[in-house]
Amino acid sequence: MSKPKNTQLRLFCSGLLFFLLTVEAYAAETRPASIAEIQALFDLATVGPQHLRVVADIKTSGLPWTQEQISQELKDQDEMMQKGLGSKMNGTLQRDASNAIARSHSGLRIQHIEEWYSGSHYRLDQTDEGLYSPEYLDANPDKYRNSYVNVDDMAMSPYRSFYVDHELRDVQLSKIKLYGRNNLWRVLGLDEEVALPVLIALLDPSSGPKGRIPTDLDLSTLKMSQSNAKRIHDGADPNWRMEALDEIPGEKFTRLILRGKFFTPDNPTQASDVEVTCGISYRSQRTVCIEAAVTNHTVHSAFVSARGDFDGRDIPRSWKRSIFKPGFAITNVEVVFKEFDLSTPFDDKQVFLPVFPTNYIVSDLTTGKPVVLQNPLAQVKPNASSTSFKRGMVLCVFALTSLIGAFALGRLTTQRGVTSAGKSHNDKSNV
Amino acid sequence: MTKIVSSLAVLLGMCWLVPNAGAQEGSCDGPVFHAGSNPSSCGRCVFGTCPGMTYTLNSYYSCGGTGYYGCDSMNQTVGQAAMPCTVTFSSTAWALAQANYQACIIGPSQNQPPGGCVAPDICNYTTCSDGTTGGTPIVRSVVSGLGDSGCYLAMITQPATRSVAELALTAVGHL
Repeated sequence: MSKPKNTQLRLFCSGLLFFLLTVEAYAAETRPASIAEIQALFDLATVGPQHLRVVADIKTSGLPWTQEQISQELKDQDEMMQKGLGSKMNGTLQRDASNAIARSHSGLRIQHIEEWYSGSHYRLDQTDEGLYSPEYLDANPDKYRNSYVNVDDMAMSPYRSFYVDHELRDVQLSKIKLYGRNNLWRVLGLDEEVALPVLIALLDPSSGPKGRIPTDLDLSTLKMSQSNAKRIHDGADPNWRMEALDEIPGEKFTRLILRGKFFTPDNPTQASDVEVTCGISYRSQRTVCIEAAVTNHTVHSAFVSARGDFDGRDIPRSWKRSIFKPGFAITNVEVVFKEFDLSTPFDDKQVFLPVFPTNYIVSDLTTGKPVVLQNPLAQVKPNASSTSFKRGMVLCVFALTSLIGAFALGRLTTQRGVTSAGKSHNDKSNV
Repeated sequence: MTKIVSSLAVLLGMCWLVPNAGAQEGSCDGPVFHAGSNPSSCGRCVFGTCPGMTYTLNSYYSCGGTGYYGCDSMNQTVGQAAMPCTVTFSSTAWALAQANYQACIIGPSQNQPPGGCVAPDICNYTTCSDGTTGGTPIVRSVVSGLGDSGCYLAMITQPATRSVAELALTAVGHL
């Protein structure tokens, strides 16, 4: 229990330290951001989703559940079981369920994932350590337990998404549902929290798609408004200010600070006073926002992000994010990338099509209620036990009758044999 | 006499087993199939948030029913409860809508639409999706070693290799 709290405290302190450094940076010499720097920040904000395969571990830490929360959840699940199966949890099941609930909310949750991104298609293969027992995880170190796939392409399939449990061999299809994405491609650009104010400050509205709501897929087509950039550079914009700070002379590292008011997603009814800082490193292969922070001075929330441990392509192997919101526990998410494959092509049909082995149970859960489309075991298991029982009983009665008959016949034959034998014996003795 | 008594005993024993036997003719109605479900769904966006949680239950088999001699099971995760919904916010669309709104406000009044500049509604740019993590495992007793295409059923009912009538005839023949 104390370990996660210590981790939280450490992360909170590191976040605080980062803020203090940022505040201190303001006291140092700042200058208006150049047009080139403004363009570099906008370019990072408009890095769009790539055709990509990623292998990573995602570690999420937060407050662990209390014993009361665990007991309440166990009670809820017991009630659910009574409604569904008409029986209560027995001792062993209750113990295992309670342990599983405690494990899933221990304060640290680790997901081992492999993801594919291709246009509107998305596939997440995942083993969520919070859901499975240590015995299962030890026995299956190289297997992903679940798949969540957004097909979202009528030309490919009538189903928008599907979910698979590979251990239970169970597939759930849906014609309406889509699963949330991890959007790990954003490690190449800016976090969404950082990108939003940059886009609002600098976007040329006429560069968006016509006649439809833009999506992340349109990001790379968006253009910066040169007039907005010039106004901000000149310090003449009524809403936005952007300054730059060269912390280490001679290093290709600049901290950009953007400040202004806009309607944030967590406070959409009034404009929030927001400050964004982004430490930009101009590396040999790409420009990277190494450290970023967003502070909402109106609602007193904050977001911190850090990228590090770069590979030969200047792609980060480590990406840490922390969210501070008043009234909520601090959430820390750390992504450790093991593979980040931008170049190897993959076949969309192989990755995203809902095609399954014949020994899987497949159900359509579009309405929430299951329509079983494939159940391999049901095909060899006709429900004929009552017929079989009757037939068996008839056979038994027949066999018993035969046996009793045979027994009676046997007795009769034996008696006759004994009588005739006795008779002949008598005859012989008479001779 | 001993032969007759033992044959009778064998026969009675087989009669007792008959309701559980005969798997080779497909007489088994166990293990019990539980179809998966996903009864709850994420609510609609409210002020940029997605209220509600989902739970998902997989299809699985548990021990029960009749028609087989034995059934091994173990407790394992068959779904997730209290799974938080994922807020998918389209920052691109929101930024564009905000930029248009700003342009409308600061632009010449004759260019404004008849009803004036309308601030974008956050929920038009927010989608509530089913999450993929963060839930609580639902643990149930599940049949272990469930083979392909019902092999498990064939395996667990294997002792019933000779029919009752065949055994009865054999017993009579021995007489």
